[in-house]
Amino acid sequence: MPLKVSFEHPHFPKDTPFDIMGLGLVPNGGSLEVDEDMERQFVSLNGASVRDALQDNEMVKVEGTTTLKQTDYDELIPQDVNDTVQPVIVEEVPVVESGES
Amino acid sequence: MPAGLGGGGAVAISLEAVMGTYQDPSTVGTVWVPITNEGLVYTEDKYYSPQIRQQTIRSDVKQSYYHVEGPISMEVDPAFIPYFLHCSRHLIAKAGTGPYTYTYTPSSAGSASTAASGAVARTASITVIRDGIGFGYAGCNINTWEFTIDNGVLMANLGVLGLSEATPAALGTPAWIDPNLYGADSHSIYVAAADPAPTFGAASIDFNGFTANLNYNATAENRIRSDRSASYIAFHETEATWSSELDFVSKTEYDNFKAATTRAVRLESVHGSTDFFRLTFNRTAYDTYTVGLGGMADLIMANTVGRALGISGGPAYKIEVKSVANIA
Repeated sequence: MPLKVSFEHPHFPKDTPFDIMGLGLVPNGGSLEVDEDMERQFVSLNGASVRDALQDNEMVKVEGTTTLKQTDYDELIPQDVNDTVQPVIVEEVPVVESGES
Repeated sequence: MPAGLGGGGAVAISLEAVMGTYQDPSTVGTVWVPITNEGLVYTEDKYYSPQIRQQTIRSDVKQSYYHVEGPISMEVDPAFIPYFLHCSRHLIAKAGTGPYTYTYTPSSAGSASTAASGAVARTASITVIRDGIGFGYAGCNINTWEFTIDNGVLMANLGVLGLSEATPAALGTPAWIDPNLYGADSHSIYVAAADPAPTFGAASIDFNGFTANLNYNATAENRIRSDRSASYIAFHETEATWSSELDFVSKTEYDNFKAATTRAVRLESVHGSTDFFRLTFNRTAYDTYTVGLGGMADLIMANTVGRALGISGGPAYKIEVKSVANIA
């Protein structure tokens, strides 16, 4: 079963379109099938899988299975800038005192 | 974490079941509110020890009592403004079967409170996501309101006062509905005789700008207990005013100022029959009315401030919002 996201906000009328960043519009009380392109876009924007990002929300239900592999996630989720930037090692240059030549 | 921009942030509000118990945005009923800026801050007077010990620098620091406070600015959208109006010093009435009309009138409550449900004053948990990092603020109340027309759009500037800060366990899922703003062709201002239920005639055409301010002079009260956060939000005097610039075309209003004549004033912003925002001061008096010759090429305008007063048989002011939101 492909990935499916259902959304229901109890305060808003049925079918009110809600925009979930990276997935697009989901009608209130309805659901949205997430294809591979949408999933890739979502992961790139949110830095997490659809399930990881949405599963804690009591107004959202995630069903189905992802089509992405771990290697896809590794490509799509940017590394923390602090993890990827390597310290620049500057070799010590001997100080040449003026007038020595 | 790379550097972030304000536009990548998000703010959520969740009405609390228990005052001061933080509810993160994964909670059912949380709404993500489009704002234009915010500045909620943890506010604490730390204790720096002035021990005399042969040094002239403070020797130690201890955490002290704290609360949270700060501004939120937003465009008035009838889908969201009721959530904040629920968290203020108001009596609330709800009518309709959708859309719903919420009526807010001033209460004399001495402190903020909440309830699990119903059209009663509530406190809120407000979550702010800054650069992907969540900040949770619990027990929030709106202490000050400013409704103003900025470049034709009705804006609200809110002063928030809250009990405590928490780290959200989950950030939920920001989900957004389309904006529904009140633009330049939405607004009308009416003036009539002071009355608990004023009868307004045709809209006035003399107002150049309009700003309404409500201030409950609230304070965060810290009590001695094994917790540094505030115990409750206390309300004090309610001050309500409006201000505007009027075309000076006759001495009528100037005479009303001198005579302390009381009038009813209404700001109404409407989208057909779909939704509206309406703020009515049932009885106000001019607090200031200044008119002068500003310069050779300047229009002669009167700068005015009206102060709201209580009135027998009705509320001092009333805010009505027709909204799709069904706050339970």
